[in-house]
Amino acid sequence: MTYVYYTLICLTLIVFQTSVVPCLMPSHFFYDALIPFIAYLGVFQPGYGSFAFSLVLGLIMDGLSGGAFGVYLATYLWLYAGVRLLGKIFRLRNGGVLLIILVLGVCLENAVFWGSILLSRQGVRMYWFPIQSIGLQVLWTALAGLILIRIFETLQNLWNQWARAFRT
Amino acid sequence: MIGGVLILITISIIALSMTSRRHITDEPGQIAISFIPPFQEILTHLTNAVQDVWRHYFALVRTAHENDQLRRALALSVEESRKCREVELANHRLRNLLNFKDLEAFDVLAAEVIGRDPSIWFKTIVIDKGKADGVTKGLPVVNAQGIVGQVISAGNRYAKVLLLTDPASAADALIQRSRSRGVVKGNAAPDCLFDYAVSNDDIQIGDWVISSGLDGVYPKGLAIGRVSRLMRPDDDLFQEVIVSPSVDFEKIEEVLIILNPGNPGEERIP
Repeated sequence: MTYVYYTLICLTLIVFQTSVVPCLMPSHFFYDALIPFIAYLGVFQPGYGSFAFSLVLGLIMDGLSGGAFGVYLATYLWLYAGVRLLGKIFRLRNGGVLLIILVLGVCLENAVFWGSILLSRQGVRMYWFPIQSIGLQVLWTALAGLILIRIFETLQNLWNQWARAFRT
Repeated sequence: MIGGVLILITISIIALSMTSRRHITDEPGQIAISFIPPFQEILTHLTNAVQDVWRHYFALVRTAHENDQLRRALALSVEESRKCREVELANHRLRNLLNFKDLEAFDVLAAEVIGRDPSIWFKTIVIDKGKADGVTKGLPVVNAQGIVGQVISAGNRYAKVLLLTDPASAADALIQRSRSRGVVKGNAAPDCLFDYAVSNDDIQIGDWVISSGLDGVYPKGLAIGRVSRLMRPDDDLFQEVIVSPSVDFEKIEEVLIILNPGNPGEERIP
């Protein structure tokens, strides 16, 4: 039943950020809402299932994106693995630590994407770097990242309660 | 209990005996008239108020029902008005597309944009037409303003389009006025680069950049954009030319897929 919940959340987030957000604001004003979900999986729901979901999410986003195949996959798997690794050192459920993880996740994603573009365009100068857009993404993360994680957590608890009642 | 009853009986007897001894029999009435009417008045007012509330409640319910009906009617009217406005705007856009279609001899297919890449680095859109509609990989996508991009993958009912501003995008191009050749490349930025323009090429800010048709993807003469910035390094063979695309990529809602790009048309600038 948990996987059904994950699937619903993933579908909602993907549709939200690919179809709804672009209608509401310029696409470069928002950040990848799947990063908080991957972080949530790593911190609150560790296990093979979460890892598999991170992998599937990466593949889906790579399928939708025009970037080199594997950039989303690499980002999500690195993020998931990084979170699991940090979990062995820090207490990750702390709000401040979670916020830092989310900001690092956003930076990691942008670094991976930028790196993939540089690698694919060897010898071609990049005259543009979206400092302002990345700044806005970090700001959005700081404002909405933790709220999203709490929403995932609350919804999961409600879902688990409902699933238990459904079984009995 | 018995004590209470006894006290009540005693008080009654005393009161009755006192009243019977008085000569002015209307004194208790005077007291009553002086004492009770204010309470009566209050009670009457209260009753009237309650009655008024009760009567007006039904009236309010009727009014509320009427209000609801009017609100529904208003909402419907607003919705109709919004739809009309939407139809008007869509009509305007489609007219532009049809005009474009009339001007060019291409076999085109209109499609609606249903999704976008959320990343700031990659520029793709998803459209609601696919292989079932004749869309295949490599077909050019345009709109009334000019070149939008190229189909990079097609499913049965949907297709993914790489926008001209994506870093992986490129189109062979010409400066319309001076016929200088170059390659327009996306850079993940709102603007594009016009690469390989030799330093002594005659290029000015404001010049139109059009497709040359030599890349085998985009037909010749489609608008790409205008030169917005020029840099001519003294020691470099090439000059750096920045092009502002004529298409507003943030606001694309409908596009046209050219199904027979091999049929070149005449140059056309919107």
